Amino acid sequence: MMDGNDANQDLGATFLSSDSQLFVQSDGDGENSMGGDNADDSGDGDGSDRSNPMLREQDRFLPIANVARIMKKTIPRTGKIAKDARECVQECVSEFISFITSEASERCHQEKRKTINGEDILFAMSTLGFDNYVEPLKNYLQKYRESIKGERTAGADGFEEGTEESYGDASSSNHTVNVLTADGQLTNQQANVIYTTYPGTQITQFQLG
Amino acid sequence: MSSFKPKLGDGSIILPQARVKTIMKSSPDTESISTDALYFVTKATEFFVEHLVQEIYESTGKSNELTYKGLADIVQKSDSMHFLKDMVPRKITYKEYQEILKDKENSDLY
Repeated sequence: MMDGNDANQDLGATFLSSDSQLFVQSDGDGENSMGGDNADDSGDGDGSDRSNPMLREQDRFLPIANVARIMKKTIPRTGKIAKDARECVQECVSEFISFITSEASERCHQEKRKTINGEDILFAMSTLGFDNYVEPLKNYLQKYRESIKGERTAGADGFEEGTEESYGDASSSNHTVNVLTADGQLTNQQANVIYTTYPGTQITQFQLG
Repeated sequence: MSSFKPKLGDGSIILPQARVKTIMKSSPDTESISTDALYFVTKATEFFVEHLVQEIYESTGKSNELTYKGLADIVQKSDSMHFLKDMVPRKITYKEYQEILKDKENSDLY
């Protein structure tokens, strides 16, 4: 029937896992060896009209480092996180995203709208038992927008006040910015923002890396 | 309803939005996503990690070690985390599994 050696692992996986359509590749070479005709190679899949495109493992989950960072910040500094707990949280997080998204998406679809907007997401959270996230999310969005506003050029003569940055000569600061690169990838990166003033205008340059 | 309040950070983002977007798009019928929606989901996901960890930490009596078992237990107990119950099954040993199989066989006979 089954090998005695792998028994513990395999049985655990087959007995306990649900009929989820996602599967985990343990070889980590980034290639889909099964279900080849369903494989969606592009990371951002605009061709993903199929209901469950097989994403590569690295695309299905958020980077473990980022997830672990949030986890560590939440417990005391002396705390430890077991490896299997950390990996499981990483998977749960993707599940959470899908959970919220499909609720919002369904509602959008019913109302014949094509774009999921902020309200849809907030409504989905309320419906699914995460109502306590809604207010903080709205507040944080406002803060986030204000911090972004402070980095933009204000136009010909005036500078927008309200930030601690002094738009004097040339100054640079390190920010996290959303960058849309030439190949259409939108990523969140650390970038040096260099402000240079010329008479009448302010030039903002982003130096990545 | 839990009493979770996010404590970490300001409005800035820790998780990569592009990846969040990729995951969102794998949901059926998801065409386009507004920037606000993407921000909310990314931020909410950060809250979620914090929330989950907080609940585990408290339910294990503030134990300094976060284990799989702690996670599995909270998923069963907490209402809002219940959607994860298939993803975080309680682990059993091979021996326990054999016994379950045996019981099943026995009940199938009658």
